Amino acid sequence: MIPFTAPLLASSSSFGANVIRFSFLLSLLVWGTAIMAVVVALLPAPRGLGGHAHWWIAFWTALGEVGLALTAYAQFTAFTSGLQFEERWPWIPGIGVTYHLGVDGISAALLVLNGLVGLAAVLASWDHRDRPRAYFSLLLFAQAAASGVLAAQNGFLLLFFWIAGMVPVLILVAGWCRRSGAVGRLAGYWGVGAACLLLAVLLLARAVSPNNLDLSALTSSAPARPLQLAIGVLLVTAGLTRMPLVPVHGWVRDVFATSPAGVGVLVAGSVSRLGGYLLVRLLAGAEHGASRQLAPWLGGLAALTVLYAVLTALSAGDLRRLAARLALIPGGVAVLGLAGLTPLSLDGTVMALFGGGLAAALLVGAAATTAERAGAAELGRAAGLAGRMPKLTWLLFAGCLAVLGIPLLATFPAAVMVVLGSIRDRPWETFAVLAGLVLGAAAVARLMHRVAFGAPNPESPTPSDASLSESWYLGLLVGALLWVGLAPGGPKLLGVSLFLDQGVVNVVNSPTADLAAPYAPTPVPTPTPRPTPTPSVTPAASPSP
Amino acid sequence: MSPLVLLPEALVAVAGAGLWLVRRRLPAGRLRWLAMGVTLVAFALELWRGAAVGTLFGGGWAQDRFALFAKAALLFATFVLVLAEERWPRRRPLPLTFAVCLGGMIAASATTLLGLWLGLALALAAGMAAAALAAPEAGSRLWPLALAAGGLVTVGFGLTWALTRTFTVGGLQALAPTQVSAPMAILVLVGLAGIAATVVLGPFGALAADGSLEGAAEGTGGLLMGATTVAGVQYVAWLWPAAGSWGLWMAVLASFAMLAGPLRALATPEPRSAAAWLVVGQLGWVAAALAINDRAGQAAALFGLGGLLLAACAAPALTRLERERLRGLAGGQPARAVGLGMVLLSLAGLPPLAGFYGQFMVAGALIHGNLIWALTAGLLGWLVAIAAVVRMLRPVFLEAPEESPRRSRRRWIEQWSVEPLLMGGLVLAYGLFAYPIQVLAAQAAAALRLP
Repeated sequence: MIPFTAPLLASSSSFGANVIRFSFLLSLLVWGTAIMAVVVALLPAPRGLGGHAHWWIAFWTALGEVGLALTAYAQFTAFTSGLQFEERWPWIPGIGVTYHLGVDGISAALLVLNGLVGLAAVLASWDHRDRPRAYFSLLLFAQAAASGVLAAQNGFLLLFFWIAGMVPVLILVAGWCRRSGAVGRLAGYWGVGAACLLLAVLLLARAVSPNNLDLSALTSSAPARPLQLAIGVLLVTAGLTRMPLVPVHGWVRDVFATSPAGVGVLVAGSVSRLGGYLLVRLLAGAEHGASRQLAPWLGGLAALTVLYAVLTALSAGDLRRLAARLALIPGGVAVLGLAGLTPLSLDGTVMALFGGGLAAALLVGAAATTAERAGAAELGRAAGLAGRMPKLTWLLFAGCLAVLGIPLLATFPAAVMVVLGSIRDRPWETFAVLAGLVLGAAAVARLMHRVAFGAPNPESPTPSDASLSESWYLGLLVGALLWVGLAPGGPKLLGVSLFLDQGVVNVVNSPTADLAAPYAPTPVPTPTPRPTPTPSVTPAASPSP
Repeated sequence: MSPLVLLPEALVAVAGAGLWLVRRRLPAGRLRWLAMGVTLVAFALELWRGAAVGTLFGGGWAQDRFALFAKAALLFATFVLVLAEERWPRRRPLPLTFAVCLGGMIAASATTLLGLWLGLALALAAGMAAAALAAPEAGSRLWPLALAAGGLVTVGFGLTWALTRTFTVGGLQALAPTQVSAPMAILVLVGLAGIAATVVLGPFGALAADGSLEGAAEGTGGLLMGATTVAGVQYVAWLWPAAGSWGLWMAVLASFAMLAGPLRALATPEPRSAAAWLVVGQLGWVAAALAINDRAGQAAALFGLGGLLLAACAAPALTRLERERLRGLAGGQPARAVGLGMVLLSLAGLPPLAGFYGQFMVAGALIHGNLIWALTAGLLGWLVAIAAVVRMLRPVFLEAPEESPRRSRRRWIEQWSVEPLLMGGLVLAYGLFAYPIQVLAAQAAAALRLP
C-alpha cells in the first residue's frame, strides 16, 4: 500500500471548511483540467450549442478550476507555516522523484490567480471559431501545467510541469500568432529558461543529495558560495525569461500584441507570473547568499524594465503594442521587491505577482478586444472611441491604471509594500521604478487622449462595444483587482474577518515571513552595562587588630 | 543453472524460422498477430525465467540483471515494432526482425568477445538484409557501410584479444589501467568506432535511407540500433580499465550527436528523416551517459535506451508519410496524429513522455560525472529538437486537410485505429511507471561490475 499523506486540517472558520474537504484537491485541480483538455482534443465537433461546444466544455472546466482554487484558498489556514493539502506518493524513489503536491500561502494565492485568468482567457475566446478544438484544448493544457508548477513540491515535478507548460503555449503561438518567427523566438527564450532551470535543480540536488529532489530538501541546502551564485544566475535566467524582464523580453510583442486575446490574457496573467514565483520560491527562499549578491542586478533590471516599458510605450503607434509594453511594468515592480530582500518587500513581490497578473491580463485583453472591435490597432486610426465604445474604453483605462498601481486596485498595496520594503537598501532602483510609474501615467494619458477622447477618424471602420462575454471577462479581472485592492486583508466587519475571504495579504504572509527570515535586519546589539568595579578590599589594608 | 532460462531465445529462434517457413501460406495479418503473440510470450518468459542469475556453457553465457533488462527491452521493442506495422508487407520479412532481436539477446548474455561479436554480427547482418529486402537501392548503399562497421568491430575485438591474451569479461575487467598500452587504446577505439557506426546504421538505414518511401520506413533499424547499443554497453563496461583512452572521445562524439541530430532534424523537411535525426540526438544522450563510466551513468544510459527503443521502433510506421500528407492529419486520422505527436515529442525529450525521463536521468548523471560541457551541448540540442518537433507538428494539428474526411463507419474505424494510440500510450506509460524500470536499470548497471 502506498503511503498517502492526508492534508492538514483546514481552518474551521473559513467557508467550506470540513464540508468540502478532500485529500486529492490539488491533483484534481491539475489533472482534472488536463483530462478535460484531452476530452476537448478528442471530441469531434458536436452539432448544436451554436458551434460553441468546445467553448462550453472549456468554460465549465475553467469555472470548476476557479471553484477548486477558491476552495483551497478559503480553506487555507493562514498564519501558519508549512504545506497544506499535501499529497505525497513515491514515484521514482531511486532518483528522489516523488509525486509531491502541496500549497503554502504563496501558491494558494497564485492558484486563485491562475484560475481567474484561465476563466477570463476562455471567456475572451467566445468568438474564437478558428480550429476551436485544438485552441481550447491547448488553453486548458497550459492552465493545468501552470497549476502544476504552483502545486509541485518536488524539483522533478516542478521541471515536469514547467516544461510541459511550454508546449501548449508554443503550439498556440505557432498556430494563431500572426507574426512570422514568433514561435522560434518564444521557444528560444523559454527553452533557454527551462534548460537553466533543469541545470539549477540538478546542481542543487548534487549539493544536497542526489536521491532527494524534494523542494524542502533542495531549499534547505547551503551550497558553497560559487556554486550558489551559479545556481542563482541560472534561476534568474529561468525566471526572467518567463516574467519577462528586459533584456530577455523579445517574445512579448509576439504573444501579447499579435496573438488572440485569450492567449495573451493567459500568458500575461498567469503563465508569465510563474517566473516570479520561481524566483521567490527557489532564489529568495533558498539561495540566500546568491540572492544578496544578485539583488543589485535584479534591482537594476527591474528599474530598466519599467523605464524601458514606459519609454517604448510613449513612442508606440499601435494600441496592442503599447499595451504589451505597459504589461511589462508589473514584472518590474515584482522583481524590485525581490531585490529589496526584506520581509515587507518579499510580501509585496507576491502581492505584485497576484495583482500584476490580473492587471497585465486586463490590459492585454482590453487592448486586444478594443483593437478587434475598433477594426484597427494603429493609434491614428483607432481614435475617439470613448463615445462609441464606452465600456471597452473604461475597461482599457482601468487596465492602464492597474499596471501603474493606482489606489483602490490590487496593484496599489503591492507597489506600496515593494517600495517601502525596498527603498532602504535599493533607493536608486526604487526611485527609478517610481519615476517610471510617473512617466507611465504620461503614456497612459497619451493613449487615452488619442484612442478614447481624440477626434474620431472618419476613415476608420465603425466600432462596436464589448460583447457580453468580453464584458464578463474584463469585468471579472477588474472585479478581482478591486476586491483585493479594497480589502487586501479581507473584508471585515467590526474587525472580524467575514467568511468569504481571509485576505490575500494574510494568506501570503505566512510563508513569506519564514522565507524572509534570513534577510531580516540583524538587531543592533544594545550595549550591556559594564559591571561597576567593586572596591577591592586588600587584606593588607585592613587594620590589624 | 537451469537451461530453461534459454526459453526466450529458443522461442525467438524457433518463431523466426517458423515464420519464414509459413510466410507464403498465412495471410500477412495473421503472421503479424502470430509474431506479436510470440514476442509477448517470450517477453513474459524472460521476466519470469530470466530473473535467475547464473552461467551456462562453462561460463560462456551469463544470465544476470543486465541480460534480463536488455533482453526484456529488446523483446518488448520487437513487439512494438510488429504492433506499429498495421499492414506488414511480404517484402519486409518478419524472421529477419526476429534475427536482429536474437543477435541483441546473444550480445546481452555474452561473457566473451567472441559471444559479443557473434551477437553483433547476427544483428547487423539481419538488419541490413531486412533493409535491403525492403528497399534494394538503399540496401546496396548500406551494405558497404555495414561491412566497414563490421570490419572495424572484428579488427578491434580480434586484436584486443591478441594483445591482452584474454577475451572474457573477467579477464578484461581485471586489467590494471597501467596495463593499457597505446596500441591497445587505439584498438579499443577501433572496436568502439565499429560499434558506434553499427548503432547509427540503425536509424540511418531504417529511417533516413534515400530509397523508396516504403523501404525507407523499415522499422527493423530501430531494433538494430537497440541490439548494437546493448553490445556497446557491454563492451565499454568490460573495458573500463581503458576508459582513459575512450571516455573523452565518447563524450565528444555524444555531444556532437546531441547537437547535430536535432539540427539536422530541424533542417530536414521529410518527417521520417527528421525522426531518424532525432533518434540520433537521443542516442547521443545515451552515449554521453556511458562516457561517464560509472554505475549511475550506465543506469541512466540503460533507462534512456529503453525509452528510446520504444519511440525508435514506433516512429517508422507513424512517419511513413510524405510531407504533404502531414497537413491536416489530425482531421483525417486523429489517432495517427496523436500517436505521431507523442512519439515525436518523446524523441524531443518533452514531458510527460519517455524521452524526458531518460534525458533527466542522463542529465543528473552528467552533472555528477562533471561533464557539464556535454550537458550544455545536450541542452542546446534539446532546444533545437523542440523547435524541430513543433515545426513538424504544426501542419499535423493546426492546418486543415486538403480534402474533408467522409463520414462512414469504415472511415471512422480507419480514423481511430488502435495501434497509433497504443504507441502513444506506451511512450507515456514508460514514464508514469518508471519506478520498476529504473530499479531494474540500476540493477542491470550494477551487474556490469563497474567500480
